[in-house]
Amino acid sequence: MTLVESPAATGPAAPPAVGPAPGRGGGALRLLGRRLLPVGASIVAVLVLWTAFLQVFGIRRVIGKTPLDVWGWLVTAPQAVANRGVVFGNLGITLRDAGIGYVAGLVAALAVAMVFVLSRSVEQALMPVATLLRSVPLVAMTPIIVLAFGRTLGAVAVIGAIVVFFPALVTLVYGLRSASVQAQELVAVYGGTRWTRLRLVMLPSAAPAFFAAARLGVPGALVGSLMAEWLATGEGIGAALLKAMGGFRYLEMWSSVAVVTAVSILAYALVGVVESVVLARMGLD
Amino acid sequence: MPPTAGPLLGRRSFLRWSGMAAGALGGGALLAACGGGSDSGAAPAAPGSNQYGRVALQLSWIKNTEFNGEYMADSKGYYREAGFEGVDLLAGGSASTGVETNLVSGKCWAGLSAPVITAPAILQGAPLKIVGATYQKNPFCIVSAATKPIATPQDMVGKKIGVQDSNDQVWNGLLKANSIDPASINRVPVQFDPSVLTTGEVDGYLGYITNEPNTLKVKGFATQSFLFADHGLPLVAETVTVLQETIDNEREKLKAFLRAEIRGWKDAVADPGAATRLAVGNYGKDQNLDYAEQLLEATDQNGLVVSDETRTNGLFTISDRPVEENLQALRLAGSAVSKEQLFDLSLISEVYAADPSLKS
Repeated sequence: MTLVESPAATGPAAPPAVGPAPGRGGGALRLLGRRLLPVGASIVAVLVLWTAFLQVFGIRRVIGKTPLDVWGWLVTAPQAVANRGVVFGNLGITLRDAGIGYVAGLVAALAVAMVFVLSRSVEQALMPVATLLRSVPLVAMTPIIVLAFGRTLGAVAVIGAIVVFFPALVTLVYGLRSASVQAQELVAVYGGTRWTRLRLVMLPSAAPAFFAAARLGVPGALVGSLMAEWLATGEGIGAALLKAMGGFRYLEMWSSVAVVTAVSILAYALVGVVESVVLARMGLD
Repeated sequence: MPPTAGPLLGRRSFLRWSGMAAGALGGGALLAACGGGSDSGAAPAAPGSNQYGRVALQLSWIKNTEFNGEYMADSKGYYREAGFEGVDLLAGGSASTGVETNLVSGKCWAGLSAPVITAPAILQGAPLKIVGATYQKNPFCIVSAATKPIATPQDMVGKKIGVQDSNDQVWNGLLKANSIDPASINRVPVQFDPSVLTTGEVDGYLGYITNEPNTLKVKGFATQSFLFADHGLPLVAETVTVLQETIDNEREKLKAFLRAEIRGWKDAVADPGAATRLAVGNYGKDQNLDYAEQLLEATDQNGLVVSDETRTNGLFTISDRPVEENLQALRLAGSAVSKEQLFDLSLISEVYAADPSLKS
């Protein structure tokens, strides 16, 4: 859904370099507000769905913890400080793992997307491989990755990157291709190479697509890191969730899920804020 | 605070009302089947009467010889003769949802677990009871390569140990009972396959003394193991675990089930070969089990199922002394529960009182 909004805005009908950008001056704060409002809405929606889920399915309280239970465990309980120590200690590891996968996935996607727009034949040769990576379930692939990379940050990077890579690649290739043909021809007329064309015209006009990919990559990177932690490294939230379930520590489990969900929503919004500011300055909003 | 049956009833009526039991909520349908009605005071079932319907038994691990008695009871029709239409044996282990959770959420009617897993769940408010034990001695162990042996809990410090998520409490119990700092050991997640030991991916692997050492031995890989039972945790295992409300509302049904279990396990102990053939060729077919290895395991297992106590009192019984030992070990492992909180051994006594011939 979010994929639609940004790249579409840079379709051939709206040449990027001549965008009108009416609200450019002093709009940054307003943009920030516009991005943060949905965060509140998202959190309310999650809380409502959470409560409704427990009600509708009649999950017993021993297993199904409510937002209030989680709040109590993390904030008001006598052991709240220790509890927070557990969850946020794990969260730190998960954020590191997700960050590694996120950066690795986005950088790889950008590099490959650039190669693809420079050379159609490379794209035709390699796109099926990228699709293949996407179609093999990650759970099935993880043991092989662990065998190759060990239970290391290398494996975490690969697993996270695979999740982030493919949607980012598709979005970026589309973004790079949607650059103004006239502007590209202008560079060509002045004797510019394909690389110059990519650098001066295609990359700047792919900025909205890049940010769309960056936003979509946030939950993807988190999912990837949780999976890597569950199956490979055995640390962080991904591992703690399963251990807590095995140990019947459902307050810890629900609290960890709540915290990681909140972080995902916030990180998504944060990228959105950066996107708004950068695109506004580029006159692409 | 013991949770009420309210939400559970709520779910069932929800299912009835919406009429979607068959579709999206397969688990719910199972629950409805498992829930059954109240049968307190009902007469013992006439053979083959199906009066108890279908129930689900959650196993503690994948379908290997560890459940030979259940395979016997199922294939020889002991469950049916006890009045059950059938007993669905649900494979478990590794990262699958635990017995305690599945009991509380109604995904199964009874489960095979271990006190070191059940006791913490009870302390968290899960209304569960252990009504009998298949293994008189728990086979939990840490397996390591003979060339890089881990002979005691202290030897694990600084090593990489593979622990299944489902065994989280078992592992924590071992560390607590031996005063080992969890941070001093590199614990990594593993699944069902102990070959991670042969590749050097881990230095130690939490397993059953009957299982993984034999699996690796057959493959020509020599191992060293130490038993949890020798290091502070002399606990029973493969314990039959149910909800308190099952004891309250379905006492006769549960006793009928225990009777079938006893009959099945008597056969499995008497003829490990036949039981193992069932495990390898039928119930655990998709596990590609090796008959020779599984037979080794089944034979070793007899030493856990049969003890001097069970020769006198019958299989699945736990007499007072082991009960005390278990409670003491659990205290050491950080789960101080009382006998009344954890065990209800009155049903198994009643089963043997009604039919003493089951003992022999």
